[in-house]
Amino acid sequence: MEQNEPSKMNTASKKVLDKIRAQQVTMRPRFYFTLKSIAVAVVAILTLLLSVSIGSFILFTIRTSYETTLLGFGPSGLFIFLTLFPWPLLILDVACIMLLEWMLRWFRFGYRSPLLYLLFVILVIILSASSVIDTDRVSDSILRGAHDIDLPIIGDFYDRGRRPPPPGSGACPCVVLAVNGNILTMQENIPNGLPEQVTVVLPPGAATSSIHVGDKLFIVGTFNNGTLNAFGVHPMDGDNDADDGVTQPPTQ
Amino acid sequence: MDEAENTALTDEEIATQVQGGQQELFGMLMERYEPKLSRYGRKFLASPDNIEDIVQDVFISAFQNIQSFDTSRRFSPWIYRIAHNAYVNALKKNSHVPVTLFDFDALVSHTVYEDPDELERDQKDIKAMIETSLEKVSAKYKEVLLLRYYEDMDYKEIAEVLELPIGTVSIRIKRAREALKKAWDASGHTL
Repeated sequence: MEQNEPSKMNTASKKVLDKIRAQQVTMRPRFYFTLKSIAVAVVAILTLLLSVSIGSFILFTIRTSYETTLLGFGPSGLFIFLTLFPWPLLILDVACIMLLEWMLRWFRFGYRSPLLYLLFVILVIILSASSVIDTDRVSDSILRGAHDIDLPIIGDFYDRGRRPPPPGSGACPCVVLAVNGNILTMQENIPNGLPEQVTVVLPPGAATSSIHVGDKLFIVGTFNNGTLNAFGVHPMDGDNDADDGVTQPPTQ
Repeated sequence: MDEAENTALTDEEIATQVQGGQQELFGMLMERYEPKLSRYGRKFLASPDNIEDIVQDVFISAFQNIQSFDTSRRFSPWIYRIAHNAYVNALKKNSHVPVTLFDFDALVSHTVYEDPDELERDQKDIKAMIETSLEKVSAKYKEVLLLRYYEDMDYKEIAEVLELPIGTVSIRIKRAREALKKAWDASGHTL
């Protein structure tokens, strides 16, 4: 009997041992598993960074397009917000999060934790990091830098991110051309098109004394026969780089 | 080292030596686990035709990946994990209906209550029910029932085999017992 050969071996065991002896079956080296774990960890970290980037870009988009102000205009504003929200980006981010959760389950700490708890921790990390990045105006700096050195892809990407709402959406980042009581004549910047004039009717009793020609306002309302009946007005402040996308009216 | 000394070695000690190059000792691990894995597979799949082939594949996979085994942990859950994956794949391949092992209980945490006397008290009854009614319960309940009552694993070991939170194992065993009892009662059996 060969040394260490078990005295009573079943068929399957004997066949496998024969294959081991004939070197038809060999051990994978330890570094293979080390490299595998490192690869999974690296891909997980990259996926996390991608998800944080997408998250911060979503926040950049809705901030610089003034879409967050829609949330203060009641159910109608909320409806417009939901129609303008960058859902494809959110879907992409959710896909990254699901991929990240799947990868984390490779590790013991991953599969020992209930799924929802792990997901909660991932979401907190991504939301926090995305918010910090957006608060620090990192995307704005990238946009400025891309414009300064005329970067073709990144510049276009961030420009599209702060795109104005499409015409007829009910949201209008516009410049005041004329004030006539509660009726404003405004200029709306159209993507890939010439600026258009829009007639805006403010609600009765709206304070128009603080509105002047040249002011940039974010108007929210409903279109009716080419007129925008506003139910929300928000000044567009100069801190926001997105204001650069709203063209000034021609000087007289 | 002679055969008597080898027999006294624990599974983890043998695995350490196999990792160190003593490949022949892997035969000892196979000798210890082939009957257990075959029994588990026969009960889990209920069609023992190709059990020997599957067990062979399990041992081949175990040997190829032996360097990934952490010798500070127990060997039994590790090899049962490999066997479990092989049996689940075989079940999915042979099943005419989709096999789902996902459990909503894995989403949240559950309180773990492992009664130390439960195993001894209920094992005889549960085994009798398993003999006649196991086929009538879903795959996710079959696996915990077999690991608990046939392979005598505790909750922690089952959690390692199935890669689930221990709370999920606890609740799943409770539900599996209920499902088995229901199937048993529906068949008109009595203890």
